[in-house]
Order: sequence, then C-alpha cells, then structure tokens
Amino acid sequence: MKDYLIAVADDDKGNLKVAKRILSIYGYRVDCLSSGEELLEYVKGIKPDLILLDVHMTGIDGFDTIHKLKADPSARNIPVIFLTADDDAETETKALSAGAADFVGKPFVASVLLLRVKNTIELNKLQTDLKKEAKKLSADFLEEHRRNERLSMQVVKALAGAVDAKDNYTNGHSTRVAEYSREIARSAGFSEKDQDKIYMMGLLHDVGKIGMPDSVMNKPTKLTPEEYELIKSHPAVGCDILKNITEMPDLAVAAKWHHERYDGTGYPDGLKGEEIPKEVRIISVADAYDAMSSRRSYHDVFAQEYIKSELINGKGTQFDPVYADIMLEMIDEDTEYSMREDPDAYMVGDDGVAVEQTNRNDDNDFVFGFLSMLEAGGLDTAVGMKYCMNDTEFYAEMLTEFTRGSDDRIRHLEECLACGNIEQYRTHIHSLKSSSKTVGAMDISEQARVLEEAAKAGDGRAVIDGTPAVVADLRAIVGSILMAMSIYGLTD
Amino acid sequence: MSKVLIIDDDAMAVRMAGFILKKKGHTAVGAENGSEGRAKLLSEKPALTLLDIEMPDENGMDVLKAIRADALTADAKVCLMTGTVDDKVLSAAAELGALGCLEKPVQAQALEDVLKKAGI
Repeated sequence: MKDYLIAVADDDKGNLKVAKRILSIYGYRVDCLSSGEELLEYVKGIKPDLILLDVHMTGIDGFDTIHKLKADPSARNIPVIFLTADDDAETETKALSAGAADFVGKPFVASVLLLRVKNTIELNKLQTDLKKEAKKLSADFLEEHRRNERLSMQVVKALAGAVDAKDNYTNGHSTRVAEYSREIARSAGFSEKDQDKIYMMGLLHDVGKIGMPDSVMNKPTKLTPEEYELIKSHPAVGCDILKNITEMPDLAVAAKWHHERYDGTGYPDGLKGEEIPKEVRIISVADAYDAMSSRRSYHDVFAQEYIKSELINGKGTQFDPVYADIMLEMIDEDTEYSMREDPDAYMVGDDGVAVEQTNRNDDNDFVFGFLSMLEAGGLDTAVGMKYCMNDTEFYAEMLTEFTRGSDDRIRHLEECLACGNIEQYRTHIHSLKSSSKTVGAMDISEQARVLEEAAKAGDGRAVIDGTPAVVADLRAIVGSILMAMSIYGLTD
Repeated sequence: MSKVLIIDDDAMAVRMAGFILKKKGHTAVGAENGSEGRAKLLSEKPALTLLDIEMPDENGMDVLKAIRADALTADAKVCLMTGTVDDKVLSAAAELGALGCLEKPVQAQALEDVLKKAGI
C-alpha cells in the first residue's frame, strides 16, 4: 500500500493537513497542492496513482481542473476523487460526467476516505491490467492471423513450384505471372487486398498442368491435334483441383478462364469481354507477356519490341485493352528488360558455389523439381544437401525423420513450458537447433538458437513468448516438406 | 571396417552420423540415452563412441564420467558432440579424456578427423 502515491489538491490548508495525516497513517505517500493550477503543473512531472480534488477552489475550480486533466493524454488515466461539502445531485452528476471516479464528503471521515481511496486505486489497477491483457490478446490474435496467412502463402507457393517444376520450360513462370499481375492491378488502382488476391490467383492459374503428361508438356516439336486437345483441358483440371478451396473461390476462377479471350474466341467457355472476371483479364495479359519473355520449347526469349507489337495487336481481341495498355507502360518503364525469365534464378548451390542445371536428364529434373519445391516451402536446400553429402535420397530420409519427430519435439517443448522446467527445455530447443539446421530449416534453427540463449540466461518470459512462433513455423515447414514429398512420391 | 557407437537422444543425429560412417565403410550402432549407451559399450565393444552432451535426464558429460568410472569401459575412445563448441566444452572434454568435441550437425570432414585421431 505504501507504494501508492496520492496527490491532494485543496486551497484549504487545514483540509490538506487532515487528508495527509489520515492517508499517511495507512502507508500512502501524499503530495499536497494548494490549487488547481499547481496540480496541473505537478502532473506534468509526476504521475500519482490517485488525485483527491477539491471542487471549490480559488483560481480554477475542481471542474475546470478535471477537464484539463482529462484532456491531457498522459494524465487522463489517473483516477480522480472529488472532495466536496456539497450534498446535491447536481454537483455529483456534473462531476461524474466530467470523469470523476468517486466522491468524499467534507469534513473527512477517516474510514470513508480510506475505503474510497483503496477501492478506486484497486479498481483502476484492475482496469489497467485488463486493458493490457486485452491489448496482448489482440496482438496474439494478429500474430496468429499473420502466421496463418504465411502458411497459406507457403502452401500456395509450394504448389506453384510443383507446377513449374513439371515443365522444363516454365521455371518460375507462375511466380512471374503472379508478380506481373499484381503490378498491373496496382497500376489499375486495385486495393492492396485485391492485389494480394490476384497474386495468389496468378500463382495457381496453371495448376491444372499437374494433370498433364510430361511427354506432351515438354514435347519440343509441334503437338498433334489430340495432344493439343489434351493440353486444352488443363484449365478444367485446374478448376477441379482448386474448386474445393472454398475460402478463396477466385483461385478456381483464374485456373478455369485464363485462356479465355476478350473477343470471345478463347477456351473453355468462349466468354467475352466483361463476362471474363477482371482479375482473370489481368492474368491473361501477364501470362501472355511471360510466355513471350521466357524460353519455350519452340522459341527463345523475344525482344521487347516484338512483345509490344503483339500486345498492341491483341488489344480488344485477345486482351482487355485497358490492362494491355498498362502492361505496355510497364514494358516502356523496364528499360533494362529485367521483366523476363532469369536463367540464373533457379540453381541449387552447394557450399555457396552455384551449380548450373544444364545437362538435365530425368533424374536431375526430378531432383531439381523436388528441391525447388522445398525451397519454395522455406528450406535452404543447399545447406541440407551439404549436410547430407549431396545425397538426395539421404536428404529425403532426413526430411522424413525431421517431419516424423516434429510432433514429439513440439510436445516436449510445450510440456517443459507447462511444468516450468527451463533446463529440460534448453536441451530440447538445443536439439531442434541442430536438427532443423541439418535439413536446411535455417529460420527455425536461428529462432531455436535465440530461445536456447534465453533459456540459458533463465529468461523464462522470452522463452514463453518466443515458443509459439517457432512451433507455428515448425508446423508450417513440416507441412511444406510433406507436400513436396507426397507430390514427388517420396513418402513411405 | 570398424564399429562406432552413437549415443544421442535425437534420432536424426544418430542417422546423420550413421550415414557418414556407412559411406566410409564403417558400421554404426545407435543408443538413445546414457544407460542404453553404456550397455552397448559393453556388449558391442565399439572402436569409437560418439556421445551427445545435450540429452535430457543424464547429460553426456555425466555419461562420460560414468564410463570412466567403470573399469570395464574406462579406456573407451569417446568423442563428444554438441551444437555449439566453445573453449569451456573443449577443456571439459579434454579433462574427461575425450578425443574432442564435434559440432552438430556433424559434417563428414570433421568426423573423418575424429576417426583418424581414434586410429580408425
């Protein structure tokens, strides 16, 4: 109790003396102030836990003083009890609406004064704690939300990586289409939320290619009419794959209609003009642009001038003219021609030395696709492969072991926290640090390192605060690994 | 070809070291805690034991002390392992007559150096 500081403002010295005596006996610290002005000056430097304020004072009175206090953000939360000899409802109403917490009648009755002071301070403390708790809860909620978003993005990217890895000629295609689409949407004035949605739609627009045979996808010569018909079914296949993601129905829309044309001659449904959703019209432009600015089995990267002429020719026939114009502006701004497939961007390195994937055979393709997908899921596969002596099979074994052990690891960490055993926690987080590094989960390894340091220093608070994030990231990365392994048939 | 015992509660670490040893033509035996490790030290008679320091319950230093205290295993060749190797760990390892301390995750070259030290 003696830690609490109370400021009393009253122009009657006798009252100040009485108040100070009563409160001091009960262990409160008391500062006496003889006017409203003095009190306002005082709270600029010192924040008492409670203010006792006389209503009738010379100079500014109690009401003016409380108005000024409540207008000052740094003093607003200090509770104020009014001291008054008035015994009428009008004064009480006026004071309460001005923000007073309570009243004490004059002359003071010691027991009443002490009880009201005690109650007000406790209530205020409770409210402050509640506010803090509410703030923390909403921060936790936001953090959880952010993590969920990151997880969806990682899964979507992993899936997009699987699509791109299937086709020798479309490395990074989905990501680039997503990026160009987002840029077009931004220029066209779409909200950030819509830009993000279009980015996701772009990432997965070609997901139907997962269902196409490799022999057709990578055929260097002209397709037969039958093969062409088969390829034309990829939008429908993509729509089938994505239609169950009911939280984002637009994903299926982009997969289904990105080969529709503005003039109605596209496939599969021959939609025309604004019948095609505007997000899809944007993706169609970005998709065509990337096809021309990347290597294909039947052509090399085209020059910007040629691409521009194709976009201009396609305005109103293949493309929505508005979005084609935005793409044309983007090309004009891209004086270095940096918006194109970067052949160096998809390498798997070892010991920091880049290894170019030139003479690819089927085996290499398989490994390359698998590693690309893991990379998309957030693993540094160069590190993982280094520890596994560049043996992909063994790397896959270690990944399996890592995913299998993850539930136990999480359980151990949480159990240690639950029973406050920081020493045991340190052992388990230490083990997570090494094992995640082994598979190239560097982000998790780093978080574990920080937590291990905290546990060593006995900083329980940092450990408790930091553990949910590492657990969520561990779950997310295990999800990505399992997905890559199941797509590449590497699960037992 | 020699037999190496790996005592580590983390299955990944056992497999990792085991894989490297296998590639070099050795065999590996795993144990997930100190008591299992000491039992296998007696039954398997490995040419070298890799012993993790950070284990729940009985840590590697205590396990090594117990190995030294038992006349049947006192002379065993042991190399410690841990995530972060520092001077303190190295001097403690030397005091208990360990061949050294490997940093985890274990890498092939470092393990090979230990094998050489052990005369394998």
